[in-house]
Amino acid sequence: MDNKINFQQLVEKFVQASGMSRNWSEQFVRSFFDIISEKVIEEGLVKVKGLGTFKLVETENRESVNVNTGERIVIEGHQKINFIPEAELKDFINQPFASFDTINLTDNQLDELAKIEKEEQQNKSQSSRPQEAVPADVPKQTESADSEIARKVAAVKAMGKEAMAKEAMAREDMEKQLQETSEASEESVPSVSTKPLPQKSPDGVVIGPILPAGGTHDREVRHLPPVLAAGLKILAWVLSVIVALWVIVYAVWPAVAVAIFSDMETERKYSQASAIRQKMEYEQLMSLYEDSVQADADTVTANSAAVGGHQPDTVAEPVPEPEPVVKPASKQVQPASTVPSGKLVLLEADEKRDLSEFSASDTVNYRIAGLLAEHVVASGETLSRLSLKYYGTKKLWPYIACFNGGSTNMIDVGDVIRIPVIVNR
Amino acid sequence: MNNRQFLTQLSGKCSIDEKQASEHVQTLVEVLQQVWHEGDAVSLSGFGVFEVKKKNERISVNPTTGVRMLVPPKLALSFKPSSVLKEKLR
Repeated sequence: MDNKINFQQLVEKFVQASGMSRNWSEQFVRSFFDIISEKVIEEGLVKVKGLGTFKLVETENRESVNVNTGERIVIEGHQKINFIPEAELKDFINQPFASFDTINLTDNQLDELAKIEKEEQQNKSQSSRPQEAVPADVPKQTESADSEIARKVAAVKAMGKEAMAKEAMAREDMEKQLQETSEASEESVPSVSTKPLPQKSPDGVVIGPILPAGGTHDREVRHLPPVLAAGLKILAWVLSVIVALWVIVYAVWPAVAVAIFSDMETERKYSQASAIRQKMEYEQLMSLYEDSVQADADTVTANSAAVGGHQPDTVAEPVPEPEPVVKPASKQVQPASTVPSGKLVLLEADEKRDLSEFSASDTVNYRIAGLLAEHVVASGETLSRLSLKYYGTKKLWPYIACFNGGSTNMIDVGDVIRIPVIVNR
Repeated sequence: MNNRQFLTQLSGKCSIDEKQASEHVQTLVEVLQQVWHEGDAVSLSGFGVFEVKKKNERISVNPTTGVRMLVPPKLALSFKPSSVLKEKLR
């Protein structure tokens, strides 16, 4: 390696390879290069098969600066000899690196960030959409209640704090309206307040199972014709509602049965629209949060079981006041229980208290108070995702970045990221 | 000057026919290839230096699409004519 072979050594090698006499070989090799140098000057181009092309190239006048004096000087145009090796020779020499290919670079980190931003915006638009719809009469209320359930599922998965705050406000609005209507007509209230509830309790041991069930169902359905898929969806939904209603009707409220059945007809009409919307939202959610669903699956069921325990009490009450209060709490519990230590018990308590006032600006109201965990970065993870995993929101990633001495979201697979404990100021 | 003309010239100088010249040229090129494959340089006084150089990997940008590409490292054969040959050019 890295030796310099001179003319004599080259001739020696040629003798060994060709078996010709040394004198003749020397003459041959010398002639070989003499002819090249002679003819390239005379004719400007010499092609040698297996080796390449020697070429005369004209250079133009160019200005330069004398490094010693700083003067501008003109380097006159001249001719120079270029050698372009044949493609085969090139490849042969490049053999050690032949396995490498040119790679198109995409800035994964930036893309990831942009994607997360998009998701957040989507969540916001999802949660703000039903907010605008003001429920006026009974059927409309059931419809918005449906979308509210979908929204809750979205929120459980998304954990965007802003979205949650908005939602909490939206729910408060809903409650007010529900209360108003309950005052207006005692008849309609039971059906309104019970309908969303049974859907959550028997159907589902609440939110958790609803989402996976809906997701897998959607995946199967995608292969079917759209009409059939929609039909199945509606059928499943209506069936679940009927079953839920029967349970409630027989267990708690036999007297209201008649009223509910009279509502059934109108409800069915609206269930189609809401089922389609639900499906769309499920699909979006599933594509966005497939990974987090897996991670959170057990905790969700645990929470929902706990919430399910509360359910009978709330069902019995005509005014659905306690129900929304239980919901946000369960949402807070979920991210908390994914995290091993007691730090989020703090968070949970805070957020239970301040849920309706929580907004994006509140993300600066924390301080770092020690080490929570050490996380080895796996493929596809970002600080935002870690923040989502440990704190339940993407917005708190700067705390992780700060705690690890950096200020960017750039992390590599295999890095050990120290997750700080953050507490409310 | 193409390969055939080159072989004619060579055969005339070394008193062999063109076919033999072609074979010997091939042998010589193979010898040179072997030398370069081992990473050695060939320095010929009065002609120049053939050297295998490693070009580092680099990031290049396609100016029309703006796509950034990682160009892998490679080994390239370079030829630097000797000063004697350069002198002849003038």
